[in-house]
Amino acid sequence: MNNDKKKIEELFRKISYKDMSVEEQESVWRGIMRKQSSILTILTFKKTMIPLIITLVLALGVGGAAVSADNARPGDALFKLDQKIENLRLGWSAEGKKDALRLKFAGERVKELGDIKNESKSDHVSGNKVENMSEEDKESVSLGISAAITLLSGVSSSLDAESRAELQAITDQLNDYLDELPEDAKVKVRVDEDNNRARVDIKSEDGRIKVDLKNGEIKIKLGDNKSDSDDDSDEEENEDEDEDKDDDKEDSDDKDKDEDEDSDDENDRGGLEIEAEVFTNQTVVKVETNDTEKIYTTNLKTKAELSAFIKTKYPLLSLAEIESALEIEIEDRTSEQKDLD
Amino acid sequence: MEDSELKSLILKAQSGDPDIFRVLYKILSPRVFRFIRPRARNRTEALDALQDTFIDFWKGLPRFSFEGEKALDAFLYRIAVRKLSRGFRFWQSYTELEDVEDIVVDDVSTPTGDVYDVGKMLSSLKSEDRNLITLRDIEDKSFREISELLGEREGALRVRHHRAINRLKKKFNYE
Repeated sequence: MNNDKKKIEELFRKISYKDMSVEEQESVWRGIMRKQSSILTILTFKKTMIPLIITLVLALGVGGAAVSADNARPGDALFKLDQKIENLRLGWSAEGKKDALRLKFAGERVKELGDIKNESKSDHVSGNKVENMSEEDKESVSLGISAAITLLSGVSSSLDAESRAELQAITDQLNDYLDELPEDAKVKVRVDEDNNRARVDIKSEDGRIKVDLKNGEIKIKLGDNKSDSDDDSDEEENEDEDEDKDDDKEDSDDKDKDEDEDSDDENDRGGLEIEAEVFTNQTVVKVETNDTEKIYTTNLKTKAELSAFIKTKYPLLSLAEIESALEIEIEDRTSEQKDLD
Repeated sequence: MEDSELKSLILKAQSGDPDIFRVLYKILSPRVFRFIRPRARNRTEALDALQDTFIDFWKGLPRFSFEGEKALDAFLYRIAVRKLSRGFRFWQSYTELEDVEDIVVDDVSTPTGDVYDVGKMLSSLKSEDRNLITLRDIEDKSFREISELLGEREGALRVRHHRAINRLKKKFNYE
């Protein structure tokens, strides 16, 4: 042991510790996300369990109806319970088994759609086109297609050959089924390797199938008025679809388009370019999205700080997108007016 | 980062968006780690405490009211101290050489043995004494500042510091 005369206090004053490395920072973040998501799952589970248990008790109490929920079809009273149970099973299952479950549930949805179609066919002698279905059946079909596509869109890209074939078979069945509805409606499900998620494209030129993407949920409406669809055929796909706006339709469409343009400014991630010039007095940040450039000034300098700053301006962009697009140039001078042009 | 920008970021993070919280974490975690590391017995313990601190910060964020950067730091440091003292109750107290490998010494002539001793000394202290010595001797704060930070009387802190140093001198033969 050291026997020199140095005071302990002097020794303490000489030391400091190495700062956290980027790798350590990322590793701790992953740990936070792991723990946080499990906490959220438990909280969500607690919140959802109470009504679910009550529902299940009630359902079982009236003669094993919970079992029936598993067989409930879109439009049935127990269909929502069926979906809740499926979602819980998805939540509980291991990550590697989620895709198989999604495919299984999507397959069930497609089968249920077939059942509705067959019943509708027997009810309506004139055929099984969408316009011949009852309103109730149309609603059920919309729900079923929505549910199937939502499940398929959650499938990851790491599918084995067998699961890919299953995905293809379900997509084909969905297409076959849709072929009997609006003639040009097609559902394409393709695996997007970049985002590790299946991507769903739906097209219907006559506007009978409308796809609405909101807050990560896919909602589909089946139109039932051919003439309306024809009138709208020249207009943009993202028009408002409310049926009760005949008189104000044009105004309403214009407003929607304006709103879309506004949100594009802040959130569209197409052609994203971000340049930050760090001057001695301030930093000039130029953000270009879809040929629209916006200029901001700040006194922030580091990549992390600037990314955070841009994130506050463009909340729908992910931090990874911002960081990959951000180019920083250090200028050894104060900024001038021309730098802000 | 200016207070107004930090405040805006915290308000957005209160909605629960993980991306925004990640931004906050990126900005705040280096300084919280610098606070935690001297108070932890080794780097792994410091990183664990940092993780737990930010999990608690995230959970408490909806109720947090931003009143400036210093208040935010104080809030985070209070959580960190709580996490560290909890850790001290469960973790073993011996020190390995690798536990002090991340100590940087200003004076390059300081013998490696002394650096190792510093690590061992800090590890051997009780949580509150370790915090006190870190504040006083490593972070070079006055007893008045420490008194304000910890909410304890200055005189009592001086006595506790003196006794802790004496115990270390005796234990490690630094007379």
